[in-house]
Amino acid sequence: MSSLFVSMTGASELVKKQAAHTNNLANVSTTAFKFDMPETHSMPVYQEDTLPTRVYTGTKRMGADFSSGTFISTGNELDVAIVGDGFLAVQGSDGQEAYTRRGDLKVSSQGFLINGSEHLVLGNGGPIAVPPADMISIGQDGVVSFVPQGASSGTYIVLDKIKLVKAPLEGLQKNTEGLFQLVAGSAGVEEDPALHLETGVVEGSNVNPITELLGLINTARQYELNVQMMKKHEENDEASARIMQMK
Amino acid sequence: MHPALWISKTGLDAQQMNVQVTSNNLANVETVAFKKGRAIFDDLLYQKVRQAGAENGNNAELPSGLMLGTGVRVAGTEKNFQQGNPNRTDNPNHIAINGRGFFQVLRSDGTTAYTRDGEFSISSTGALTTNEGLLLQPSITIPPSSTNLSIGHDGTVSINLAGSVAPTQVGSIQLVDFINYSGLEPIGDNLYIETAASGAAQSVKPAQNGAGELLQGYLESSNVNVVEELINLIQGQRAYEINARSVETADKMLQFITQML
Repeated sequence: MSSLFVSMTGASELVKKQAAHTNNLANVSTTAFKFDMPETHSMPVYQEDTLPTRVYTGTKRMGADFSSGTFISTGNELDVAIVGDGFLAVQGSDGQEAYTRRGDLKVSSQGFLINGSEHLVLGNGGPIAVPPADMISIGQDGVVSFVPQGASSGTYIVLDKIKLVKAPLEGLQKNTEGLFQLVAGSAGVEEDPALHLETGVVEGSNVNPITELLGLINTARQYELNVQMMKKHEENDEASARIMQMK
Repeated sequence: MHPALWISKTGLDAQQMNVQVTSNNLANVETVAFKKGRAIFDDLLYQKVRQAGAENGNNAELPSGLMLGTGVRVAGTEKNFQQGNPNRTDNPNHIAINGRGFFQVLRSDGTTAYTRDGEFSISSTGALTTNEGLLLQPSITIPPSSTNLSIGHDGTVSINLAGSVAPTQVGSIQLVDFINYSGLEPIGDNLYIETAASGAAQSVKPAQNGAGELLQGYLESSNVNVVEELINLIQGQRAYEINARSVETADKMLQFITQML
């Protein structure tokens, strides 16, 4: 009974879609989280000389919504948020360059500038190592400067400039760490001098709880429809079995 | 089972901790030199459900992969070391640090802890101690029957000995500074200890090299902003409810399928 399997793929893909909505809702407070947009598509599997009835459901690669989250003032001078459509370049755990808008920066115990998800922030010369300093400051243009330890105050030395880039949004995909990476074949990133940082603020999550709750309800209802269909297939099966018995 | 159940569980856990951190901030709204905490949220690893370009049989090729998120976690709580207001108390034993720096105190186990709480008292032996009786380091001893305890902006402690007109210097208060305040570990009693993340304590003189000056007769108030915390509390509660709703929906889906089929 192929139709039973068609309904089954519908229901099982909707469970994945539901997981995506739930994940968005779970990350309603995650700094600079970009919500995923689960989409389903049809996967027709036709054989020659048969009726085109088998159209399975597949869940597409989820695109993320790149709209900016609300800026939340923290007063922490190392917290930065990007004004404009840009990204901070960070180093993922795999050593590859990846992009994020998460800018709750701090200095790691090894003396590198990292963000809240503990990824190394990249400057023009790779990861930014901060020497022992009395003060660290990040300018609006992303320039990191510091006052060396024990120096008379006021003499800031420029360390590096945080790599602020504009990336082709359609070419970005979340990796397993939730960082954005360029998919193969997409245009490269370019540094944009128009991008600037707001300091003392972090970007909140861009999840809209109302939309996600609606998505949750909608998905649950669609799932019930598919389960109802499976029930109908079962009833049809029983009916055909009874016909056999009458014979 | 339904993955959404576990994802919403991580959301509930994280929001519960968020409310816990906020409640702790609100409980310490009157604690001297308390520094507010903030829960840091981090999305969990994404699960690669399908690789893009995989063959799907019958010449159907998956046009794109699928990455499913698995929830959220609280990556840590970060203290915000913003300066609290110096409040005048007129008690000569009270000292506020206006700017960067920490007092050093000797813990009972012989290690050093750091605090910005300058609510000092004088022990029976004349030493400056914290409320818990921990000695200020380097220790300052006030001779008996002396008057006019005076602490300068630079930490110089002087007194007038009985019968003497000129002040006598009995020591000076030293501060320490850290490269990364957020790395300090709070241990309660308004004390912090250093960790690998905070970096080693660097000895500094008050009002020099970027260190704060000392204000005698003042106490640094808690830097908790009540309005901000109440908003956090509301947000945390609503986010908790939304995640509970996800649990309910996932549960209903499971219930529906068990009843229907």
